[in-house]
Amino acid sequence: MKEDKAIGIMLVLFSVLMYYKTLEFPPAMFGALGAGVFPQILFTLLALAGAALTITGFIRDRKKNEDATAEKREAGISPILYRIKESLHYHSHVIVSFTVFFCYIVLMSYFGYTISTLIFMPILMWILGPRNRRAIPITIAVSLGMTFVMYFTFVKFLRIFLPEGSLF
Amino acid sequence: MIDLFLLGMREILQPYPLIFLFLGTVAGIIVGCIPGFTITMGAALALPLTFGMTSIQGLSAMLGVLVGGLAGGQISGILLGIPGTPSSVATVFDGHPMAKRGEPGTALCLGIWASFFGGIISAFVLMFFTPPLADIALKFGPWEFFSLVTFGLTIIASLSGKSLLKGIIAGLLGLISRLFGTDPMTGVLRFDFGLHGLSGGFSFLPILIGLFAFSQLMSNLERKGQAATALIEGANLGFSSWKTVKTIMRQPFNLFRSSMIGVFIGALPGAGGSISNILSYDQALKGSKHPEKFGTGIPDGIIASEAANNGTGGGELIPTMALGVPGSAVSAIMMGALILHGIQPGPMLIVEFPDLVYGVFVAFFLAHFFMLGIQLYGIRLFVRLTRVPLYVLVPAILVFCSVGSFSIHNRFFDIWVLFIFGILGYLMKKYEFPLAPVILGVILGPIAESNFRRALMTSSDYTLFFTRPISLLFLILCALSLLYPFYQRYREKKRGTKGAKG
Repeated sequence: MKEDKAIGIMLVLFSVLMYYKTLEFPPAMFGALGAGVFPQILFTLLALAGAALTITGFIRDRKKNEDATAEKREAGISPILYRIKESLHYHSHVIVSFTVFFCYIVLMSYFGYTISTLIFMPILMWILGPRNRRAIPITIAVSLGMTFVMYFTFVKFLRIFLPEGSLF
Repeated sequence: MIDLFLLGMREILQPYPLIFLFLGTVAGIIVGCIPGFTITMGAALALPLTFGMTSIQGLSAMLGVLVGGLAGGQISGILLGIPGTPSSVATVFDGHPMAKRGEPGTALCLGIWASFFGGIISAFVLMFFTPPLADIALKFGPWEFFSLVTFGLTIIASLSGKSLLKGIIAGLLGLISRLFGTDPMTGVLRFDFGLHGLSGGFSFLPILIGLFAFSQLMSNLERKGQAATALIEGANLGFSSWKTVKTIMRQPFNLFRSSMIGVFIGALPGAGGSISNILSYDQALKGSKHPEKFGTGIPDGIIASEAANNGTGGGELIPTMALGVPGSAVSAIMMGALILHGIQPGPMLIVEFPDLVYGVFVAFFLAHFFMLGIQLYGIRLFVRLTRVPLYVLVPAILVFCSVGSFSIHNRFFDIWVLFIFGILGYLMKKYEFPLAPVILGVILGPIAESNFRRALMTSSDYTLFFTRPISLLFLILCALSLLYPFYQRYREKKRGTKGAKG
């Protein structure tokens, strides 16, 4: 995979940063192992693994290089822009869903679980679903039904709290 | 042994555990039969519901999900040709052709009964092998445990994907995710970056739900416009259990071999149903007198695959209950359920809580009877469920995910953790990193760290990890499991060149 090299470099950078952080931990007393030792081992290993991922990525790319240049020539003027556009189109539902969920969490922090769920569910269903007349009653029924079911199973039956907002 | 077994029965044969076992099995079949939903996802979603239950009730529910899920994957596999879970991939090879030939009922019935028998066989193995294994493990010191956990992690990394390196990175990320927050041994705050929420660390439940439920839902959304594939028209879902059982009983060797392959693969840490069903199908094909008929819709293939995947269930519980080292992502989640209820899994479990351990055995056994009954009588209902559109399922489950993550500590921060790990899990899947090692790292991380430090606290001698025989054995196994993929590749290459010459 093309992205492997970049991921490997990011992992190395992340490990170095975190390793640096562990140096701030106070050493343990009475000869015990400090809080930083185990993380240091893990981040060293992660850095090595990340480096290996980058290196194998480069080796693999060198083998493929000849085909790739030919491909690039064929793709035309702005292959990168085209690829981004393609990828955005392919992932549009995923990106939108993540964004809507983000808004849902923010909303929840103000209005609490029940109200924000009643807003979130129909919106996401409208975005993902077919926009025809048949979908409207389903959307309403599922949103209301799910909110009630969640409320009753968690609050009434299992006696587990639902997230509360700062306003309600 | 018998008295302990009766003790377990006393725990399970009560209204609430039975109800939860039943509901868990139904839920398992549901997640199993919907393509794109995995058993791990079902278990992750069931976990928050177990807070309000006692530990044995919670475990019953999770066992139901495991057994139901392993058996439920065949429904969409046989009817639609899309395996409902990776554990029923090989069922499709013969199940779908048989359904297309006009016998979907027979194919389903074969799968259900094969799952049942495979599961029952594995339940017996589970009951007889767990206690002696735990006995051996009782002699382990922190050195052995650290080496065992390391072995568990490496075998997972080497088995769970195309790239060993990516598996290792995934496992490391899982281990690292638990380093945040207060250090349990010295009380030092680690990597909190001044954020109040991070001082408690990332708890494993939101990580779990984020990685396995959230990211899975998002991957399902990629295939836009993928309408539910039409079911085979005028499908004849009728079947005769009597005839089916006779068919299966005519192949006792196939059934037994497949189940045992399942148990063995399951008992290896990390290798689960997704491998065992294919391996067992392959063995059935090689051992058959009429291998040319495989793939055309013969019972042998369905029996091999389905007996193996339910056999895996019992197998993966063996290391989980005996050693506290989970056999797969699902059993890792079950370990998490134990930890949530304040019970530390490990070899002491069977000594301290024999009622619980034997209760698990009994529940696993009973879950197969539930699975059998539910599937034989409710199959039409589950068939209809495979047609619920994604735009309804995704928002409903996302809403559930957020409560599930929140409920463990009543901490709003955990919903953000869910979101972050949802994105992380999605990206990892996108770039072909396996997710199972992450979750094992998440569960095993604290165990590995505390044993490592305890070992060095007892004696500052690092060489003890290599000079204590059992610890050394695990470390050698560790090295072997890391080198095996290279050997495999070398062998394949060799065979490839030979083939080219010939």
